[in-house]
Amino acid sequence: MSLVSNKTKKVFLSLNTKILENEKVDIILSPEFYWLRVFDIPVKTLNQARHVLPTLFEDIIDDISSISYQVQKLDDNRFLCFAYDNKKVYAAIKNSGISLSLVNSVYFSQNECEKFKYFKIENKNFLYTEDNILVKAPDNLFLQNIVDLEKEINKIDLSNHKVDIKLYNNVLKNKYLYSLIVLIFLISTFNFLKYFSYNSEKNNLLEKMVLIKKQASLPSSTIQTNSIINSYEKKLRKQKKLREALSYVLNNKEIKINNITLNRNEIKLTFLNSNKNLVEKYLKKKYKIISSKLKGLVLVVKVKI
Amino acid sequence: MKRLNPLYLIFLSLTILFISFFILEDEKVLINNSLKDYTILKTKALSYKDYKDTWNNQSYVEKTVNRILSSSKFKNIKITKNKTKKLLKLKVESISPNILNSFLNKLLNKNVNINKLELNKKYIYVEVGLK
Repeated sequence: MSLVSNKTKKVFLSLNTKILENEKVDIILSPEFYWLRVFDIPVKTLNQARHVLPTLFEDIIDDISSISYQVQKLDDNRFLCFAYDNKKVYAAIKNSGISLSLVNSVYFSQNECEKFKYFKIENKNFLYTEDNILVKAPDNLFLQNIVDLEKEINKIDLSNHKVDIKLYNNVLKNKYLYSLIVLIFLISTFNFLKYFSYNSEKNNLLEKMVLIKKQASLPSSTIQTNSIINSYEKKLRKQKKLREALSYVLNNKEIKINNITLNRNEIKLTFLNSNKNLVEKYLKKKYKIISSKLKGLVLVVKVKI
Repeated sequence: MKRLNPLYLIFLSLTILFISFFILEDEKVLINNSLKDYTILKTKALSYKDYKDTWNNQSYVEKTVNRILSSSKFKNIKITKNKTKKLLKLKVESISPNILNSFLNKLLNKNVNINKLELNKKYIYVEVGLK
């Protein structure tokens, strides 16, 4: 069922067609663009038949490197086989003046012109042989009641058999192309999946951070937290120094201390019957002596922590 | 599809591939930053909690001092306590210097702020910070 049978304009394309078109067109290829044979191939499906075609056409076509094939089934094991050069058809369409974006579909004239036994178009004659194959007839052949296809062409009901044509310069082989694209998409998908997992992990971490802040009842701003922690650490360091100084002073068994008074910044040590030099020497090793007074047997030393 | 040159498809897919790599690298950087921030925050929270719960916590300081003083060792000594808003003033008198020593040891090993300390063979006078 052709959906566009009578709506689009139809154009018969032969080798030197030149038209100016600004509507969507269906192109009917003249026999000049393809080779057509009926082959008896002992296979069941069209695909199997198509695989065999290159070998079958080797005898007929010289250079089969850029040939595309199409098959239609006639009877059991009998197939209508088309061979065409995609590049030549593409070039002809381009040269004819039809804009490529206006091309709707392409058809073989073999299938489309069956209504007419013989016709002429653009000063060329075409007729169906006894085997029902459309061929180009010599120019000076005169037939009665020859149909001018130009007038009848838009009344043609197009069949379903479209030509699988590529309307661009085909540089790469399709096989590798599609597998390459699939590979690239796989890698991209993998990357995107990784991205989403990282994203969710990051959100997880952010949630955990909010939870920690709540549990430790940290103040809301980081600056506040930092300043509070800094002031506490300062206190802690002072306390450590204090304890260290105390243990240093008390550790020396040689000097006998009478009294220790500890403030935040200094220790006041009172000695009875001690050697001033010995005491000062020991204390100087680690701390700075603020003052050292000897009154009789009593030595009072103030040391800075 | 017959009009579309597959080269365009390849370029499109390559573009998508590059975009995916860039986005992934970006996200890696972001998540590393978040991880760093998280570990820093964890340690900060721990130290903050520590400070708030022990060194500068009034109830902790009082409890600790009372616990030390209630030990059986210190049954027979004279304890004078005086509490102000910011300080706990404690005077511990004993004949035995060993007991004084042990008290000092116990006190100094706890997480309390010592503001002032006076010690000799007869007594220990200490001012402990409450806040």
